Amino acid sequence: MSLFTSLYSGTSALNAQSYALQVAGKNIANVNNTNYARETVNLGTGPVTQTPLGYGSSNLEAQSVTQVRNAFLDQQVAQENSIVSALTAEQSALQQAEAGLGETVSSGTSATTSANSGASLSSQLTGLFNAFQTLAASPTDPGVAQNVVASATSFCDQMNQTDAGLAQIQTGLNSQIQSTAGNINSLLATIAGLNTQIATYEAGQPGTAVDLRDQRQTAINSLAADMSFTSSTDSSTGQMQLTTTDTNGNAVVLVDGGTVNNTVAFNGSSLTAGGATLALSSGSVQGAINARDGGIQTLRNNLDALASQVVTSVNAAYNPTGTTGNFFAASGTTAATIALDPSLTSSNLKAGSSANAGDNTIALAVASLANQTFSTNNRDAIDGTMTQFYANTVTAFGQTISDVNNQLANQTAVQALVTSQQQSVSGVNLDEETTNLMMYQKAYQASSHFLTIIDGLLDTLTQLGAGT
Amino acid sequence: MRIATNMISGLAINQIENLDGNVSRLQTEVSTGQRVSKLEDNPTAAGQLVNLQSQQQTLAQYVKNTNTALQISQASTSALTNLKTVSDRATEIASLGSSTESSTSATAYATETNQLLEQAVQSANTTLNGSCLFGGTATQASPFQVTRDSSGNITAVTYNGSNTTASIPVADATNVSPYTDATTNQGIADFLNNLVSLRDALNNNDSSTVATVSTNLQTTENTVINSISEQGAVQSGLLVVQSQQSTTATNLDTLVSSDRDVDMAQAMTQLSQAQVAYQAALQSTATIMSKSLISYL
Repeated sequence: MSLFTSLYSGTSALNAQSYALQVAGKNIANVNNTNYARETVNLGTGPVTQTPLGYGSSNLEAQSVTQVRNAFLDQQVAQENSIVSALTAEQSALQQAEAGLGETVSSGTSATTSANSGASLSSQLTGLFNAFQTLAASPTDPGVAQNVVASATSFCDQMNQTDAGLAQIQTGLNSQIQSTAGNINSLLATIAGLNTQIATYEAGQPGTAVDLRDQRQTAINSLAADMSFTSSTDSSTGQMQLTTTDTNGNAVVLVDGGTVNNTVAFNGSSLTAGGATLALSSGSVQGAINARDGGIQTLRNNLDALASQVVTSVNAAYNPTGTTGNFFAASGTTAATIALDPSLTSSNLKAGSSANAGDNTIALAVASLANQTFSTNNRDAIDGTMTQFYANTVTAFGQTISDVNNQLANQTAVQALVTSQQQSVSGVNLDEETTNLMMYQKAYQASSHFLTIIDGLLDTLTQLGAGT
Repeated sequence: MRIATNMISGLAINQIENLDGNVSRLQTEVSTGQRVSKLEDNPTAAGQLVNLQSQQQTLAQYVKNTNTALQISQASTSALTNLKTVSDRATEIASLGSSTESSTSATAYATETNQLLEQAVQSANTTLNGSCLFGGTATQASPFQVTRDSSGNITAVTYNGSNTTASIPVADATNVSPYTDATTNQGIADFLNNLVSLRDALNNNDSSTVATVSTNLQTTENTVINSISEQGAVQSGLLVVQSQQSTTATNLDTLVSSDRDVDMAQAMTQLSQAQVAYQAALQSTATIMSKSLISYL
């Protein structure tokens, strides 16, 4: 082997080590990038040539860069993120509804304070029947009659406002799903585009388009936060196929290689793709749907049942013959529509059924409704007393939020575990990379030193000629 | 296990967030004195509290109703006592008038009886907050209507009130009527008419009629006395209700408190534990994160 060959050998070593240094530097730069998978340089010997000592190679080459990824863990991280995202969306919507319901626990109410204090629906409901009790005690007092009408008006207003607030949250969720659908479609296009690029760059060398794969993984994670899907990678081309299922259990292909087969759309109630309604299991879209059709809708249905019972019962007690004018408008039997009968005023409010001013039979009959137990078995709209029914509604709704809170806490722990497993494989460790840096630096220094020696030897050789 | 550098910060953030959440929750509990402030904190307790607070609200209403009933009963008693005082004096006049010989003194008794009659009619038509007490449910017009002759003297009294009485709810399924019943009200009208008869008999110096009226006055006075004792029973019943209400209020407060309020000693201890853990997490994170191999090269 000639000295010039050694020079080449030294140079190729310098190239290989500096490439390795560059990769270590890139790893260090991405230490806080959670979507980045650390890269390692595979060093190897160069082409084998025939030498007087046999076949061999004196060159070092940086042959390839490998990304340290575990596809299974990557998929798990995406799945867990998707579930956390669904629960977070549901929790946030339910908490908005909780605030809208206005049922907070405060230390203000006490038996010694006002009988119709507080702005919550439960205190308005009790306040309504208490107003009728006051009317029973003072049937001729015009101030008391005014209080009955005022209490009933504020109960109706509170019902209307609460229902309108909940309906608004549902509408808000729909527009949130609508905009998420747009985001999903642009992510699908991004993933299909990256699939095409990866196939082009990796032709014959699978797994080498590392940066593109990082970008695709980022898009996959974002997509998982929005909706649930399954992914599979073609090992020869490196392209991914994304599928989800519709409500009939059929697979719907979203992206196959470089093609977006089906985009998603929001039909006002669910997400569809290729005309089929999707059966999603996680992602923020499903979380929003769960809150909209679950906790919030149940709450609204219960408020409707309560409104219907209040209107029916109070009217039956107030207007037993059906001929003397209703208290509530008979047409408004939902929380959104409950209202006083338009002809009712404090001056024509009846306390009793006879012409006697001191007759309080009607006021007593209405007031006693507060203690009446209803049953859906008897074709009533609710079970239990009105307050009990409302308390049960509140408990059930609180339980829904509490369940979501617990699930979210558990799921976040699982997510943290899976993420740390994934990071354990793919994440960058600074100490490791610093050690690599030192290792490649030393090798670079040694190769440089080797070149200096060869240079010295060549100098000596050239001086041999000059001396003669 | 291989530890990636950002795992250290990720885990530290998770831990610190959890501990921070604990500290914040305990801090809220300690500062509000409540362990339940939102539905999601404890749904069962929150539902229970809706029931209990509604009961408290209803109880407050019953307290007001009981006070109203007591006022009505006390005002009725006071008017009935006036009637009894009038009745006592009238009975006295009747016994004096039946034995008197002189027409002058009989006329003087008649004049006094007439005054007593006016006074009694006023008492019988007593109102409380604009409502007549002795008219049953017909509370707006004066129940005892008088007919007067040309010189303005009452010649007859008729009861125009209702025969039904209103009752007031003072507890679940308990209604109390603080008003006098129809028999009493009719008895008061009879009493007033007896006074008219007494006055006329004295004016006529008709001692035999005076003696008859004296017996009748005894009967009507008994009605008034019975009614006074009935009102006494109503009032003592209402006082019992009031004491039950105050016991119930205390019980409800206790129940609400046990569902809502925090055990301060426990919460404070947990808060200081949480603070220690929080501080330790901050300190250890700061120590670990400031070090890497680079620091030693």
